Amino acid sequence: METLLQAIISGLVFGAIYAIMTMGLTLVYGCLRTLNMAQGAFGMVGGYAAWVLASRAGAPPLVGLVAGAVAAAGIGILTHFISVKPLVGRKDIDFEMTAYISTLVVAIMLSASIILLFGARNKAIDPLVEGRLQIFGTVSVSWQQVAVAVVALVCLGGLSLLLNRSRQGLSIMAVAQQFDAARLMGVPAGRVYWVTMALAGMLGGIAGVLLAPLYFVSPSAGDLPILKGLTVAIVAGLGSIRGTIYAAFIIGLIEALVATYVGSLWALPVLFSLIVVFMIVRPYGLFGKPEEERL
Amino acid sequence: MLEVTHLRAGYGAATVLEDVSISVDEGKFVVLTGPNGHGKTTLLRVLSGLLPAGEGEVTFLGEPLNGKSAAAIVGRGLVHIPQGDLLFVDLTVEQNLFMGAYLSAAWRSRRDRIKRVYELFPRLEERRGQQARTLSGGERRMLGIGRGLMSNARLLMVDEPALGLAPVLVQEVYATLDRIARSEATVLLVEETLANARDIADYVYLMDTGRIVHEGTMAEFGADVLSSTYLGNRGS
Amino acid sequence: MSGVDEASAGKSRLARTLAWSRTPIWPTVAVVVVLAFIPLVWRNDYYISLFVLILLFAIMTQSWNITIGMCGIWNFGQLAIIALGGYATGLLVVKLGISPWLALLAGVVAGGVSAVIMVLPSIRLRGIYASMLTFAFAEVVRLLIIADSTGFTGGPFGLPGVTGLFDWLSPSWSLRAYFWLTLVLTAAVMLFVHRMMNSPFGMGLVSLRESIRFSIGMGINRRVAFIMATAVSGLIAGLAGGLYATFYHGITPSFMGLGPMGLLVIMVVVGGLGTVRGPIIGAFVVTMLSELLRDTVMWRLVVQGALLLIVLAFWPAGLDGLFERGYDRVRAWMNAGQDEGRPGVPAAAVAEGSTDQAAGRVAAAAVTDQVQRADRTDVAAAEPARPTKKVGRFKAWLNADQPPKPGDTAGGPADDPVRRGADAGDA
Repeated sequence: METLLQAIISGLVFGAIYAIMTMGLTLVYGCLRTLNMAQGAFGMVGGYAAWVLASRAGAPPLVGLVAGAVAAAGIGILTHFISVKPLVGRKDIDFEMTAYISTLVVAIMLSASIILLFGARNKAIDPLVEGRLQIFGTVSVSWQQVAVAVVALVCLGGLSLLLNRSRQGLSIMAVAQQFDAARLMGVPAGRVYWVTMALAGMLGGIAGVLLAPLYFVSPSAGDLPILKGLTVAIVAGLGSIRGTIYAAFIIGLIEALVATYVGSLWALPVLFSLIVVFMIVRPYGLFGKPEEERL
Repeated sequence: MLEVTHLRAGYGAATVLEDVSISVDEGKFVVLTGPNGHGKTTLLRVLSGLLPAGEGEVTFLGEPLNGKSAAAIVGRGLVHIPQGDLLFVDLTVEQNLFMGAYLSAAWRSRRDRIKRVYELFPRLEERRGQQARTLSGGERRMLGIGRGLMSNARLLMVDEPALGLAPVLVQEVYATLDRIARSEATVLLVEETLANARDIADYVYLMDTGRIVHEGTMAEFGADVLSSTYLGNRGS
Repeated sequence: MSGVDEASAGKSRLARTLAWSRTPIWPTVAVVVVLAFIPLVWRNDYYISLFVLILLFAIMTQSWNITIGMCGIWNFGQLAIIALGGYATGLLVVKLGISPWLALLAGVVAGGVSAVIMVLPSIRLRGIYASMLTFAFAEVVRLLIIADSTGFTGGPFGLPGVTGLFDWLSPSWSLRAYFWLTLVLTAAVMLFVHRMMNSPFGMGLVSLRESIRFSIGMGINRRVAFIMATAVSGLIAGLAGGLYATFYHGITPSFMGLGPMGLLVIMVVVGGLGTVRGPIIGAFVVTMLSELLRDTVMWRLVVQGALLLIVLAFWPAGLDGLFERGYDRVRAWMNAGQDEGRPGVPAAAVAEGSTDQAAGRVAAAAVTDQVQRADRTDVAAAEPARPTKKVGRFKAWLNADQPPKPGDTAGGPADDPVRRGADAGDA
């Protein structure tokens, strides 16, 4: 019972991080109709930004969080201009696939650049807050987990406000839903694209900083998150914002339960096997609309 | 107000508009009619900047529009209400309307503007919190028109507002357009069934295979002109 | 297509199904013979092993190119199939001690079977979803091998001790034997793929890539076509995997994953997605680039990535497309001198002079163009003459190695020189 509770808590915390991470994928997919495979690398860059500030300038963790978000947002914009923008609106290529490939390559380039800058060794980073909070019996949460949950809630709440109330946020949703109509309203699609990529970078960066103390800051720190993020996005149904949040927690919980009861090495294989089965049964995700062509 | 002279445009090498010249005067209700598939919607897409113009000139309020972005054109008050509404289906009614006021000048006064739209379409106010996808066909049309009105519209280009609506609703839509033309903005209406706009049109252009083949006031449009176009015997 | 059937009535059933086009074999054989002298003349073993690696990469990318480039199946699990071929070969050699040659055959079969198993559920999925499904499959394979602690596959450390195909030779001759073997196999695979892609079957695959609805309307059976193409791709992948495992005397799960996949993607795209020579050019260019930057491993990833971004932005048809364009220009320039005063002719010569592939691309572009137009709900698509034109053009395209007829190419991207040539030539 107590093991179960502990697993559920850790599952929810991971779910919160996945939700932030995947929200970046979802927004970009909604707007640009392609998967941004560099999303995991954005998180990795965020982690490094926080680490650099903490280890070289002794900045407090919260500053690191902000710096991670800002740095990753910058990388998001850069990624857009070098790998996505040259492909937008071209007739001679399949945008969806080429952008998928080019962002994947950007992810690889980012890892390589990080190694060039900081070396290949793992870097440890302090959690936002230290210590644990005893709930009852042997069940406890670390304050870091609480902090992650709080940051995640703030992010998701802020994102919801931004998307539903602000002019820029609404224009992102508008471009995602009806491109021509958005242009007729005077929305400059080009700007919405890079703003979305910046937002995706920011979310990725925050997730990266939150994940950093749990693992390490390393050049390959983005690989696992992007795999999980893709899983979440598929289960959610690509482009579905509401679905992303549910799916993130579902995936987080499944992963934590498998890790607790079967073994952490098996968490990923089990997860991916589930995805394979899931996609055969419900290929458009929990909340997506059927996009397959049954012919 | 709007002057189009010898416009030529199309998709890639497929020319749809061969040679189109029309002009719309302020305060006049102008109708562009013609059989389906002969370039009416394409003309609106060119005018609103969704498609590049090939040759010819477009001026609006004395300024050339050639090569201007869609955003710049809307900013000047030339607003295109597209065929089939093209709503943002996952946004609420109110968010859809706010998107109509996207450009910063209109955005600042969006609350006043939305009140005016709600006066025109009280139904939309009742449904303000609903997702646009849950609306009925008539409500969608209202939302589409209302969204266009949210901008600083000087000239509204409305594309087939009767498409897919029940006859009762068609009448209602046209009555509303008439009111808009009197109080809000000049209207350029694209309409395949000229009879729908018979009572409100001031001036009519008839388009056929990418050209304006006839123009004149409603009274000048005899049955012979229409039938000759629609039935295919184009004379010489 | 009945004419094709009659022509090939005497051939075997498979050959009839594919109705082989007559790709000339001799030019390829000549190139192979010339290249075969390299290890005799050039005695640096390091470079020979580098060439073997390039050829192995060429076979791998060629196998992947069949699904991802030619059929448009978003298969991002190809490395797992290659690895399964390698593991099948390796395990049979190590655990059962059978001859590596027999094991290589088993690896080929394993590749084909696992490819079909992997792609089957993804056939009905749309692009990105299919890519995720195949990628998840590959990750399951990779992670299961890593998680395997029974010692059967060697877990994360890989499977060591696979006997080489030519271990009875001296190391240096064994290396040369590998070079010749992979050279011949690469050429054979290339010829096979070229013939396949120029057969009605291959044309059907390209048309499925361009428009699924349209092709099915024309009577192409998507499932059968995709399964066959995947099986072919898998067999070749298994061959590459088996060769890899025996050449390096082992295989590890680090062979799969995001990074190696990125490398292969760069090769395929830089060379030219969906072309026959592209994978070979890509494997050569990218591997040589790695070699030049051998001392700075990380710079090499950055440079390769930048190369891909540049190729995507400026020459989306890849280096193969670039070379072809250059070749066409030279041809046009040479012909222009002879045919002065007849403005239409040089362009026509360009169109005819370019290879079957170029013609195929013209046709594919034509179909794409039709589809894009048909997708539009606008007036342009509603012109009455369209449907009959479409069928006529499609038929022409199915039968033809020639560029489409004059009016048919209207509306295409005017900046494509091959197409422009076709337009001008017929006009």
